[in-house]
Amino acid sequence: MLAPVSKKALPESLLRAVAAIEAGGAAGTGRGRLTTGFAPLDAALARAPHGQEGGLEKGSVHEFLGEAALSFLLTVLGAQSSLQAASQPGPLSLLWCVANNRRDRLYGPGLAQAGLDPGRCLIAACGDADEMLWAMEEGLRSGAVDAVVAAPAKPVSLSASRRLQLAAEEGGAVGLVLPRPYGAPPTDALLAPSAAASRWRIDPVARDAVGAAESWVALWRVSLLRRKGGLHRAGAKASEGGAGWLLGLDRRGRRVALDRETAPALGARS
Amino acid sequence: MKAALDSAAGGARRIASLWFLSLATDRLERAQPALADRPLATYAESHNALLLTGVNRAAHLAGLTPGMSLANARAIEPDVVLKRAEPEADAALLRKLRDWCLRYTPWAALDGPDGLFLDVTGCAHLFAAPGGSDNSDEEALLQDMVERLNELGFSLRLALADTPLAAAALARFGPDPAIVQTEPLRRALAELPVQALRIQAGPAEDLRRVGLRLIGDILPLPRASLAARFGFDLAQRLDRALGDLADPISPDPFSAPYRVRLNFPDPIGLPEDIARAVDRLLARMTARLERDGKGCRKLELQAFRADGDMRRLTVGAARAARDPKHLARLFAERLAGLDPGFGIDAMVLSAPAVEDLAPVQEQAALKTDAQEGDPVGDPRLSLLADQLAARLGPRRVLRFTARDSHCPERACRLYPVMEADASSHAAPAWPAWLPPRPPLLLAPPEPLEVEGGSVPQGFRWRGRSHIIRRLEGPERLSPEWWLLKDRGQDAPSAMSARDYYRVEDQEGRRFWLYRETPATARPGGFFGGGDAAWRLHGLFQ
Repeated sequence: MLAPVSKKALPESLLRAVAAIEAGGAAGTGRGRLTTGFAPLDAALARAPHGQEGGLEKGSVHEFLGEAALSFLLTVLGAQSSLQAASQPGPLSLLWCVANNRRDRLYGPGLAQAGLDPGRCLIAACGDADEMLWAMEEGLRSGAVDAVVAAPAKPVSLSASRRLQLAAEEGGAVGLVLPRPYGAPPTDALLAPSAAASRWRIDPVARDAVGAAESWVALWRVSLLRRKGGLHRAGAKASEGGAGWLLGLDRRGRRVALDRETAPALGARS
Repeated sequence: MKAALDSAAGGARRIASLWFLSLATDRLERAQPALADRPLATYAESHNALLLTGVNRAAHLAGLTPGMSLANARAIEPDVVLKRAEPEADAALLRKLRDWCLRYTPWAALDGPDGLFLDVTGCAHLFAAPGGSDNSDEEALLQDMVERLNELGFSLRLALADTPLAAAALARFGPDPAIVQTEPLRRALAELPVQALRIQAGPAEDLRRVGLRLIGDILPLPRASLAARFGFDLAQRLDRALGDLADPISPDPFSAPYRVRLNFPDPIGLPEDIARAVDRLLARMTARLERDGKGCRKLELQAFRADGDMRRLTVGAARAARDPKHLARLFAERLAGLDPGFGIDAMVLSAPAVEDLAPVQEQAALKTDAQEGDPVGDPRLSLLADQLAARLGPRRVLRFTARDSHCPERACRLYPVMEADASSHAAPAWPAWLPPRPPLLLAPPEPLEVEGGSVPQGFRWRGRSHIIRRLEGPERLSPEWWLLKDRGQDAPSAMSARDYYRVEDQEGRRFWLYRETPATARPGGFFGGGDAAWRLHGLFQ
């Protein structure tokens, strides 16, 4: 008869393998992560207690809701892209799946200023939701791009998100879904079931709420609503309407996490 | 002598020479039929003088000849229509005519600026009326050429002989009926002037001075003394004309179209069968492409159905490709839409657009960062673009290029990846010094109701009101007047001077607004006042 083994007794390498299997990735391959560039966020996303580098897991799909999702994502992707630009794979290659009939179009100079290389961005102008899901799946599975960003008009259904997650696991790319309805995300979108690895809500924050407004480029209130196989510390609070993190990008390009003390006006908004 | 010639003719080649009398004017008349009835001539500058280079029939009848000066031509025929000669266009037309002549023989070659050689050995009977003799076969062949080419608007003379030089000589200097049948070659050549042998002006003048005007005059002379007196070239040309010296014609290598066909003993209809058939066609096609060092940009699949219908599928690739797996994936997206009906009898796969593609190890190619002539810069991205375009359509897969313009909507262009030529010119780099630009641009900019005067306090957009908390700007962008001049005020790119502001509302949403400055919004004048138009041009969120 086997005695129950405490996790503490296991060697470090075995623990990592267990963690990788638990995460649902290919056994033991230990995919990399897309660092967000925000220290507390990366720490929360690191797989405790091993303290590997934190960030969004590659080979999985993440959902970003909220009005400021795009600008926040661009900051994250831009950070990763500049990080990679110097090294071997070069800047991030991206596939953007956008609706064909939208009047707001992606704009190269804006992407370039965020730190991306627009020359390595491919844009699939999709006619309807089905085409967009197909294009996204195709991009994730191909392994040709580092990330696939899709802006569907409606949230992705559970079965569709499962397909996307499988494709991402196969290809090793990061899938980023930004349902972009106009205005704040509706509650059912926040709570809808999904196979995505994580779901976030990103809201804009007026700079006046913080001191020294001039020194900020942008501020976001970031909450982690749910996360597969992870700790729900931050998520629990967020789903109750609380604030997750208050993150900002300052004029010198630094990514800063603010806390309640520096921004007392924050807690008021629900 | 005749017997010897006849026996030689048994194994001899038969060469047709086509001489287009007025290629330049024929080309112009074909483009503008109205010119046909009027005297028409082309001219070019030669030795500081404007000389006629080509005349049409009406001009010829009026007495104009090539080589005449323009002033003389106008004096003789005041109504003549004069056009500048375009030798390149004539040459291109002649090449097209050569390709057209491939209907008669695969051996067709250019002969100078206005002639063609066709090796029609053994071809004549294909065009003959049934039951005719050998001789009438060739007559029928030449008759067919003359009729068809006249129908197309070309005037020509042609001749058929055993050697190219003799045929060319007969076509240009032979008897007036343009169709010359020449079995006894020597007798036919004897009546032509020596210039028909295309000898240089010097020897021709020497011959004229000693009274040797016709080829018949020099034929009986001993070759050795002929060569000693008038040059080796003359003797050699005579031998070439008579067929004693080999005179090969070299047609351009005929490039067979990339086309493979698969016939099925029984019609097929199951999707798996169709996919397997496409795989086999692709394997044959890509093997050929690889052998020739080519890759295809476009593939067309024709499925001939048992009911006589034909279905066509076309796939495109962003860069030249010949990996059968990749091409099969492109087809896989489309085969579902192929209705086999009662079954497919045969399939033809053709590659209408091929490009040079260096033989590379595909695996190695995937690792290289950028490849020459690759529109996307990364081969893996190209492959993905192809797959997406196969379903979404070639105009739906796009990428960015920077453009050298400070007008925001002109500074960045989205163009289809499939349009490779757009990337052939080097795009400028993305400007690094710009004030912040939004990642989303509204096209076209949306009009806004703005509260407040020159410093706006708030605005309404899509039914929601936004209170402006922070305002950064203005950044003034002036119209690109050099474009206005070219395209006129109404052109979409015509832009009036704009003052751009980055604006943050009470919730922290950030917008990119601009105000068209009154000076250009109202042509009335700089202080003309009037309400400035505010527009929303971009979103930072």
